[in-house]
This record gives sequence, structure tokens and C-alpha cells, in this order.
Amino acid sequence: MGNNGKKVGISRGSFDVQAAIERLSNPKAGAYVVFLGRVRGESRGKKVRKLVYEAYEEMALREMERIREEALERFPILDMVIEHRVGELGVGEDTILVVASGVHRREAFDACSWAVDEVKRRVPVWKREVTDEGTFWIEGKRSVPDYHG
Amino acid sequence: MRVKVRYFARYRSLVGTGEEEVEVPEGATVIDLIEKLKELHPVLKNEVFAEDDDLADVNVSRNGRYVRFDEILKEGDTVALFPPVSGG
Repeated sequence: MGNNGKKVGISRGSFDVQAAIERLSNPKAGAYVVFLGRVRGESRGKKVRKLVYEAYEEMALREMERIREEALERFPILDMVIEHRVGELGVGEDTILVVASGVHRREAFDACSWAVDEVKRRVPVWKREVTDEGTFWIEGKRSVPDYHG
Repeated sequence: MRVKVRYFARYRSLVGTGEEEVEVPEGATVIDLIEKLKELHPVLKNEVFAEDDDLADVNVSRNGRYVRFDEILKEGDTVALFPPVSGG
């Protein structure tokens, strides 16, 4: 999915990290902090084969936009991009991208870290972990067996 | 009045549908709707709201925003029930 200048997005394809940075390009910015999340091959001691992400897309986009706007109020940054993927993602594939731009690095680091935490806390996206020991819904810190998976 | 109810992730799998329309009385609150949904889908009562006050783990949104359980619903609202999120 092309993001054509949009600052938040849910995508089915892989991220274009460079394009996300370019969307924030600003001569005032001396710092661009990029957080890129990827699927880890191990979770809670189980070997992960893939993650299956789903979202309540309309709300997820609105919640990501709210987080972006709150970040701009809370931190003296210049701008921010937040993107999340949905669908089946194999080990090593990108899952989440947050880029914060600032005049200086400190506020960009702080805002980026804060925004990643907020996305994980409140954007309606869920993952199922497909492991060697079965499939599990991840709900916050809980892991619940998926008897249908 | 009628409201649209959406289910996501494990709750959709438990209820067996992602979306339905539900009739509730005028002036009904979010918690009134939840009581109705527990009657319509006993699996919600057994698997999601196992104890009377076990609401802490259930997220509810109204028209795309998180809501409190005492909020009053309006005709045509979309209410979504979903588990704690796990993006990132």
C-alpha cells in the first residue's frame, strides 16, 4: 500500500522506511529516529513460525492519528510517521514502523519510544502466534490457545 | 433502537461472527448492551465475562473510540468488543 504523504497507515505490504523518512523531510530537522519492529523467531520459550496480525482498521487508523497528535503536543518534535502491518508475517518480517523527526535527537528518541509504547497499549491490532506448540492469541501480556487455529 | 456490534480477534472466533445488529431499548448504556450480548451469546458469558465484575480485560469502543461502560447509546451506533490489544 502506498502511503502518499499520509503520516499514519495500516499496510499489507512491506514498509518503505526511506520513503517514510522522506515524508518527514524538513530542513529544520537534525534528527530522525526510526523504530522498526520485526517478527522474532522465539516467544515465551516457543519457536515462532509466523505471526498473523489483524486490526479493527478504521479505529486503528484513528487511534494512530491520535497518538501522533498527542506526541506532537507532548514532545517538541517536528513530525511523526506511524505504520503497522496486518496479515501473515514470517520471522524477520517488519511489523511496526515509527519515525520521529526533531531539531535535536533527544526529543525525537523520547517521542519515538513513547509512541511505540502507546501503539502497543491501545491501537486495536491483535496477533496470533503460530508456534511449534500450537497457535495462540496474544491479548496484552496473556497468551490464549486458539483451538480453531 | 438498533446498534451494530462488531467483534474482533478471539471474541469474533468465539461468537462466530464479526458483526451483527442488536435491538436495545432507548436510553440503553454500554453495560446494558453487554448484558444483552451475554444472553444472546452464552459463550461470551462463559469465556469472556466469567465473573460479574470481570470487565477489566474487555475493551469496548463506540464509533471508533474507547468508551466507558455507563455511556448512553444512540440509534445506529457501532459498538465493538475486543480483547486487550497486541500490536507492535
